[in-house]
Amino acid sequence: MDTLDLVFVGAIALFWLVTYAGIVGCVKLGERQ
Amino acid sequence: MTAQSMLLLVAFLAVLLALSWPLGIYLAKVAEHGAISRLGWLNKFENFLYRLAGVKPDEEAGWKTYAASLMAFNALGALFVYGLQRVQAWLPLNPMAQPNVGTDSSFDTAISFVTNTNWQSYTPESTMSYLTQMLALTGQNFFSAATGIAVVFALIRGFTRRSAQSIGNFWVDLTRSTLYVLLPLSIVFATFLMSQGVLQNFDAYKDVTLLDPVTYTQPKNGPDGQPLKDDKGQPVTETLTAKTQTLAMGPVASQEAIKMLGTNGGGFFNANSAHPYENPTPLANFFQMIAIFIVPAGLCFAFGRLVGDRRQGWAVIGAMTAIFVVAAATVMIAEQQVNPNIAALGVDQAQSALQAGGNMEGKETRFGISASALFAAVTTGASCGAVNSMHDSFMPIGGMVPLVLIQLSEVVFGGVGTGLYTMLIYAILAVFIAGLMIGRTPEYLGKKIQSYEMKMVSLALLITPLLILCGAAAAVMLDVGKAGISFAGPHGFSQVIYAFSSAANNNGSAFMGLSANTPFYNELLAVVMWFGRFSVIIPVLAVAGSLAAKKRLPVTSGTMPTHGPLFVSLLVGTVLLIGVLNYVPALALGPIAEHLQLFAH
Repeated sequence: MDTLDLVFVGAIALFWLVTYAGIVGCVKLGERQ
Repeated sequence: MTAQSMLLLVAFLAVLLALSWPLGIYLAKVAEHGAISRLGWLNKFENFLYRLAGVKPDEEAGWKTYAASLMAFNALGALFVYGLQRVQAWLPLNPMAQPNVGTDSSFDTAISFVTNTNWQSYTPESTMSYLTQMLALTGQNFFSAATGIAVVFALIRGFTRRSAQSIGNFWVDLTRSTLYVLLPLSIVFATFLMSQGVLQNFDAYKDVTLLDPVTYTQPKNGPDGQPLKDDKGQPVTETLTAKTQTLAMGPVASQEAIKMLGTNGGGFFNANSAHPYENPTPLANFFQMIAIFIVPAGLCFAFGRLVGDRRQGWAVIGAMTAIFVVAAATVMIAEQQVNPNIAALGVDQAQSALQAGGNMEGKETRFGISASALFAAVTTGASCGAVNSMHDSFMPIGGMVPLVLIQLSEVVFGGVGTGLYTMLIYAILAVFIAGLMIGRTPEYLGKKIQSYEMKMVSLALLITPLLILCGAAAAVMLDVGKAGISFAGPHGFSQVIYAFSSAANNNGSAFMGLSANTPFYNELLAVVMWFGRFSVIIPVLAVAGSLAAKKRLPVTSGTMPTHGPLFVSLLVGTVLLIGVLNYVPALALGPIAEHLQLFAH
């Protein structure tokens, strides 16, 4: 376990977060219709 | 096109149709959550799994919860695959004492297998322990394929339900797809592969004495790992004689089966399905190709049944087959051509009773031109990515067709689930275009296609080209990207555009020749793979949720039929138009320029 592990685990978490934001974005887009 | 190629293509389509039709009936039952006859004991195990996981199978969810569950499952899967690679040296089932995998390679592999891409920038037999191969990689082969099936089930429910707020339960779809479809098929197929000679053991690698020692010359590397050069700048070479060879062993058949059935494509060995222990015989090769297409084709038939009009399934599979036949025939014809550069060396490339003829570079003699060319079309039409020959060695047009098939968003049968849901997205676009032409509100399968659906369709279809073209542009502009390219000119550009197309469309095959196991490619391709996968799935689920909430309109005389030849032509035209328009400049700079250079004289 080194610092880079934290970076890459953080990257996976960030990927998930951005994708989840995509879900929220699509929901908001739907609400505007 | 040779008679052998034609016969192989016809036999392939006939066997595929014969096997995928009954599978489609079965898949429809799996999607409907009903009990499967003669599999009641499996139903008990299914319910046990739900109790264990705290899942209430009768509780269905809207598209947001469905998508959030899917994302949580896949993010946790990525963390698990990453973590296991990083600690494999201390875990059992590691007879070759493989060390822990490096951080950036672990990251790339984790994203790759979770997204059903199976892009492998590492050499499996010298990198992964058996535990990692089985638990992390094979496990994700099942789960990523099941995720694709779950998404297409949800989309189909969007069409079939009326004024509904739910599109299903992700955990139930995932469990049933794995338990009732992928596991049984994999057990049967792995057993067949073992009968053909595919390995399945936990032995340490074996050193064997060669019958004929091999003497070869190779570039000599310095202590820094870089090739040494003499005073004149020429590479220093060394001549070696090999008297022994190390044969890699392992649980290959179990991974090979789901690698094909789940359209995953990640090989147990670096040579993938060109390796004799992964794909030993022409019969094994034939059924590996069938295995790639069987679930995507079966899902088309299941779609027809589920929407209550089997002709809809035939229309979709008809469009897929039309594109596939043209693509496969083009690769077969291109690879049977004589390569002028090799002909100039005096090599006989004519087909005869003694040789396959044509361009045999990078192909296995046990498969020849026809089976190698067909495999290339199958693996890239589907989002599989397994290879039994090196696409880098194909003729320029022969290599361009697999690239184009990938760039068409993997809808020519496509990946497990992904092929059908992307094709249905194209179908929505096709009826929208038709609606614009005739001035009617477009509808598909009784559901009105309105502004929100079209926004989601646009997102789903435009994100992938954006990832491919921006990623490739970065790679050819930056020194760290250019350092991985092994050829100057159009062929080198083809390597790069192929890599990003393969990653964004979750295919996973490589053009070869690109040194991609570097931090730059590992990290950038991981980004492209992740967003190429989930930036499509989320809008697709949003479309499913939106359609499910609508009423289903009755068919009237003004309804455009979506099951006839006219609609099939429209669908094929839409797929080709979107695919070709996005990538024509890139194709012109790569394989087309290379073709013109090769045949200039």
